[in-house]
Amino acid sequence: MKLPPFALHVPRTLDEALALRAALGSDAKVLAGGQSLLPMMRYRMLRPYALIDITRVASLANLDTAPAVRMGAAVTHADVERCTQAGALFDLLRAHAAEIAFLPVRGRGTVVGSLVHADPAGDWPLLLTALDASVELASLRGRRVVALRDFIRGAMDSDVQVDEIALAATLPERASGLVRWGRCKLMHRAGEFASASALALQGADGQWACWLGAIDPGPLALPATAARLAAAGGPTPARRDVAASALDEILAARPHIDPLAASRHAQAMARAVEQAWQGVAA
Amino acid sequence: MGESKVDGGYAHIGRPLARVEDARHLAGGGAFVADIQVPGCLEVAFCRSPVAHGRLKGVMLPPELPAGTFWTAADIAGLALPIYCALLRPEFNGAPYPLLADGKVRFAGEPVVLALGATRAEAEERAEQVQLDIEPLAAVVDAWDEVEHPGVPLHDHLDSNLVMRIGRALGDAQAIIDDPAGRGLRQVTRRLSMGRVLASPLECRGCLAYPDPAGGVVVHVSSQRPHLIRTFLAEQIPGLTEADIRVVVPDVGGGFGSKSNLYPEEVLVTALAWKLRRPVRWIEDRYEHFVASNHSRQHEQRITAYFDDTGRIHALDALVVVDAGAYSAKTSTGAIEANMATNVMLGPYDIRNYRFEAVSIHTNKSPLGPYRGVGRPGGCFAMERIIEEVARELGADPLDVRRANLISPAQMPYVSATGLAYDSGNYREVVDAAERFVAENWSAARQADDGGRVGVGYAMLVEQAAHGAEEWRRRGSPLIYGHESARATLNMDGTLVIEVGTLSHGQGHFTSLAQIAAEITTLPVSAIRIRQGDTSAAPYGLGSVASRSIVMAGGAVAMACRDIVGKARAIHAVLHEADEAQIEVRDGACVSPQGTTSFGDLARIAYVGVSKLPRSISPGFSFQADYRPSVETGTFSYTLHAARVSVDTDTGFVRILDYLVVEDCGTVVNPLILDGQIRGGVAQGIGQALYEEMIYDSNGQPQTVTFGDYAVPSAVEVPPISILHFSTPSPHSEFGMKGMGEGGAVAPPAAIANAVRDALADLGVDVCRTPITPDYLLRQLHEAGRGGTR
Repeated sequence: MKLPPFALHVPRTLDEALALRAALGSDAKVLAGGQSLLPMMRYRMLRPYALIDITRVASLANLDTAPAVRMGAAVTHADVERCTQAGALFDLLRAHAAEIAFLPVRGRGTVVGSLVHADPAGDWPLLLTALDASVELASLRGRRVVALRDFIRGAMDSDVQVDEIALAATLPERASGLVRWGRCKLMHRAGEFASASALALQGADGQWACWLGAIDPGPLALPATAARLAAAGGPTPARRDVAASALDEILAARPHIDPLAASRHAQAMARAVEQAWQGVAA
Repeated sequence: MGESKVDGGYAHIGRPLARVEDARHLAGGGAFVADIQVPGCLEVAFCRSPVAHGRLKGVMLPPELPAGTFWTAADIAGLALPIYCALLRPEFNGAPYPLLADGKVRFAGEPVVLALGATRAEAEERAEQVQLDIEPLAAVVDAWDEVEHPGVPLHDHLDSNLVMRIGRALGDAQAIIDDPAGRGLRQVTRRLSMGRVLASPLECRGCLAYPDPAGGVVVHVSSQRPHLIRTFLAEQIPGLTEADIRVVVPDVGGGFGSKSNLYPEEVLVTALAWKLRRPVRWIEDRYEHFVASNHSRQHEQRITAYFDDTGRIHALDALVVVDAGAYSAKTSTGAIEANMATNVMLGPYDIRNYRFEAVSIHTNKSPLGPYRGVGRPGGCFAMERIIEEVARELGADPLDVRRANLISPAQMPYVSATGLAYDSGNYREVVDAAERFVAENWSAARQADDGGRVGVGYAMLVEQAAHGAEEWRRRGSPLIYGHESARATLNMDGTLVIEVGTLSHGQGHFTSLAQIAAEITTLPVSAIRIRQGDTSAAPYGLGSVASRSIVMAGGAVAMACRDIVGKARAIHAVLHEADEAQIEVRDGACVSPQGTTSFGDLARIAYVGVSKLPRSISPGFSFQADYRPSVETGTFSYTLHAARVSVDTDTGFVRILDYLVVEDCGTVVNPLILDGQIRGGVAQGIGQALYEEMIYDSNGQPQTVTFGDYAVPSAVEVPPISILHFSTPSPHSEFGMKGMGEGGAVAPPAAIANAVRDALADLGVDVCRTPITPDYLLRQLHEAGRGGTR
């Protein structure tokens, strides 16, 4: 179907964008890459009467890499994929971005848009939650910073007030000290939404974090599995052991999950750990 | 006859000529229905039924919009008629397909109200404001269940939801089935399912109609059969005759059968353009394609083979139930899948004792129609899955069991138990070649580099194509697609224009038919133009369906070109007082000891030099030829597909590692086009095997209405495909050509299912359905106590 009628506003400055946002209120939606918003409008799942296109606000296109990573609201998946900064964290960001959908989608879709959209199947909610990112928001009332773990309140539900624009996602400085990582995105077909997606990260302090995505209602931490990794130390943990540990945690956290899906999530976790041990980040 | 032998000693036929039509498309120069600019065009959107089944008690139109914006069943009542199509068989139960729902809605997506607007967006806005008062009725969504527990009929004039049920016990089938043990036979049974799929061409359907200033109406439609659409439109619209309608089919972005039927939208658009005297256009969007274009397959089967210890199959018993959707589309009808599947199921095997029952059921879904293969994928899946299980029961090599059952070359020509007249072939040869190729080129490892379990599977297929009058009559088809015509016109500059009634929509006819014309005329391909699609220019043709074009249109082109050459020789003979026996035709000229005249110069005499022409030779240089095959039961290509797959037992994901096609389609006109047809077909077959399924919930609501939900394979999922060729020319066609357009899409579900079965058989996993989803495999692995996580 065609897009329903709407007014398109293309502000050139942040002040202008915020003024529009305040004036238009709940009638308006913020448009960045439009890779989720526009299809939802075509299918009449959303029907905003105005769109505020923020991609011409120059300051929102910045991708800062030091001292901490800060991705402006207009930074696309492809921008991250093409970022040339060296280091384990950036290898991870690039690998993660490169496995999102197909190039035409990556060239338009934005990182922050993915967080605001808060689709449990989204790729950025998983990785940026695992990296303990924050979201910067602004309105005419002022600015605030919210931890991503609090920002995503549930499936398709994020903490953006009706007059606010999400400006950027920022990573804590300690994220740049990432030592090792492994990830596994299980897709039945290339480029489609993950049926399971897992991350295993080892920070500068040697601590492991294990996270699952593509699971309702949002990213799931597996602390017990992570703790076992820290204790395991040297040789690669057996895939079966990691999977069993992950499965226990998944079933405890999501007792009503489809058992086939649960086993696939656990398997993804085991493969992510395996990749981390193979020192992909090195 | 050796491998890769396609050369029959021809100058043009068999040459791997790059397609002449491709450059334009690759440069973005295609022109499709939606690209045609017509000033003042009204665009159409439909308000479609939101429910699967219900009584339509009222339609509330927004009052503020001008009269003539909305059209309901009542408004079009005198303007255009419901579509009706029936097989000429007493067992057939037809039901008219309303142009707009009238009294009842029978599938979610059925058009109820047509809305007009200056743009499609405006028309959609208007259609969205229409409110329908529908009293929901229970939906019929499970054809197999409907056979066992018949529900309320969808159509009030029918006493059940049976479209058609036919069955026969051929040979000694009944006696064998009644007492197999008494004959020392074993048996194996499988209950098989094939998911509902749809063609999903890149370009959806579309239609644009406008009054012709010279009178009548011009209709641009994305269709595979321009002339039949003209005939049908005249039948559906009382105010129009065939002489009033000019159908001009522009570029078509793929059809695969989905654009061969007549659809309500095409009739409505034409009727409204005529009524309003204004251009009217409807362009189908992807959502509409999912919910309201024809669907295909959705088989439920019960197959039993009765066999001896050598693997010889003594009898086959097949029940095939197909979900036909709500109406019988014109011209395929809802019985097309089940009837064809049971008709072709025996494939290359010499099985004389065959009991079959083909059942087609009305359900609350978009109507069934043809999609590349039509019934053959279902028949092939049944036969090839069961022969695989015969081999497993015996612990025998599945290729040996196939060899034990193949029709031998000495039996050719061979009439199958169901009456198919196989024309020629050496089926054993492709089996041997496949076995050799796999042994020499494919890894024998049972574990893939990523730890997956590896299996190899095979499937064979005999592809009846280009069937003529006799076969269509036998099927009870209301229309007989028994011929094809071509008109060849030689110009004074030596160019040759050939108008054909077929409709290339990706098959490369602009090249392959030109190669045939070049072969006969000796003109270069660059001097030959193939034209199609305009019913005011081309002779009446039956379009491009059923893998018929190269044989039928190619035959007509060959005939017309022979007439061109004959006239050229006659004029040359007069001009030079040459003995006809001494005239040679080469490089587009007649050559005799007295001199050489180019075809262009000979045409000049026939057009503007008639003073040199004796009265015994008519002026002009145009010939129409009407080809009707000497034997009308079709050509029979044959194929073996082999797949090597890796199954991840922890996730249920299947990866295709290697794929081989060994085929024989007789004389090949263009090997590049041939391989392209095979590869494109295999890609679609892979989709059906592993990914694609049009799903409805228990209320008849379609669940897969985007390419996010209905997964078609991308280039990443389609592996490199090896192809080996053999050539056994048909004794019945021009040059020995055989149709082959559908086979590529037919065998992959069976070959891949057999490969997955091979990979997992020792874990107790069976493969009885398509698509073979990860959950289907993982559930069985878990039930068997396997799968890495358990």
